[in-house]
Amino acid sequence: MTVKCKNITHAMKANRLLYNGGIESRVEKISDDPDVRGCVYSIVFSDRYAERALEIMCGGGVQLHKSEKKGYGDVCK
Amino acid sequence: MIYFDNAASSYPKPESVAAAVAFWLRKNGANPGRSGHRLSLEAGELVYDTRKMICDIFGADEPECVAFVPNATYGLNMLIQGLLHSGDHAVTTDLEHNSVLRPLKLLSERGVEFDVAKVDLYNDNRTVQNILDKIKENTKLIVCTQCSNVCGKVMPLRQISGALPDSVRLVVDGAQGAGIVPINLKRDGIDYYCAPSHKGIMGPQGCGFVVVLNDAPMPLIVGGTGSESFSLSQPDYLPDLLESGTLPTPVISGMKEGLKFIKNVGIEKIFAKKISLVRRMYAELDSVEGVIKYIDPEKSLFAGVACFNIEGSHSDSVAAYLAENGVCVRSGIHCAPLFHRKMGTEKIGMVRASFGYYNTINDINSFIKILKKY
Repeated sequence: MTVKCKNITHAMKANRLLYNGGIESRVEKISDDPDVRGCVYSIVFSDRYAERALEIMCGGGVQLHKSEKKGYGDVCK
Repeated sequence: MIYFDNAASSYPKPESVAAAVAFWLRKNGANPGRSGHRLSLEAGELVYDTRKMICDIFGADEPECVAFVPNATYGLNMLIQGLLHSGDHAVTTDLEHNSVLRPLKLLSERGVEFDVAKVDLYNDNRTVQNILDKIKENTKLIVCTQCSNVCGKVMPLRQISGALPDSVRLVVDGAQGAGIVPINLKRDGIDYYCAPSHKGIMGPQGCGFVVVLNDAPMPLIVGGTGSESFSLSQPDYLPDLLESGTLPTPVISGMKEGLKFIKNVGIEKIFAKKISLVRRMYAELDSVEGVIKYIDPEKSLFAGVACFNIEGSHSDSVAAYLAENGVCVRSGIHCAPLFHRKMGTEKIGMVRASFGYYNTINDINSFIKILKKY
């Protein structure tokens, strides 16, 4: 699962939070979303942990890229 | 050589600081937060971990509230110029450095007013009252040092923040206090803090940071941030709002090692050591003929700095003599004109001996021997 973050700081924050929560993840810079222009850093983790990972990220104050609002609303604002 | 000029820049640095800088210069020259390859992401991790460490040491929650700046002067300019607007009023103190006074003076030509509150070196309650007395309806900001760069006076920040009306924000200049005087920004009610890497934190020159715990200031400069690249407007979120252009990764790596060093030693321990060196220095100065002391270190907290003169001599002459004999100190006005006016030393300045973590009582003894021959 790939979730675009607001900036690299939030992507790194997600990475550390997920690591502390026992979920393996990595930071990637993606450019394959036709709706997104410009630099975007994402956090990538296994779909298996999607629910828990999002919970950890939201709880830890990770902010997502505005394009993710479509999918996640303001949950992680 | 005896190096007593740590308030200007700490020296020597821990070996780990130099090793980290060399490592990043040799092994990873990539730009953090710009690309997606391994080297760039590793640089990004380093930058993030350093933000996190700053939060842990200085008592802030969110790493994104830490923005790197070229130095503390830049950070103070960003906070002062970015938070104050025409019609606003600010209060500062007579211990401040020109990095605070000059931005305020500049803004006074653009419709911002400011007043200077007197610091009572031996009565913190009076100092707090003096600050409160200057507050007006349009007061937006108090700008205050954590610790004087000339006399080392430690300011009662918690007391000041606790006494301020809710509408007034507190900016703290941590140039001399960071890594030397214990502080917890959230607990102590500080809204904005800035510090350089190269003084008490023992990192390299070339970088500093601001911690923003309240509304973000306007940036001093805008430009590339590695985010929102298609927008011609600066991102409105931290730290991107305040960080345009490439960050100095090797310097940040050295800063991180400096932070690690002071964390491992413990800032309380460093603080205690510096207070004791100051007391020892002032006690030993009594044995030097013609010494003029300006501070009684037993009556309040003065961290890491001792200032004095020799009767009949300009401070520059004493410093030049000391330099010839292998002692590094700083003389003159130390960019703190109001303090020297307060102490009546505008004409001759002061000799400032400022101690670092590696200084010892033996250094003070050797220094006194040399000074006695002046």
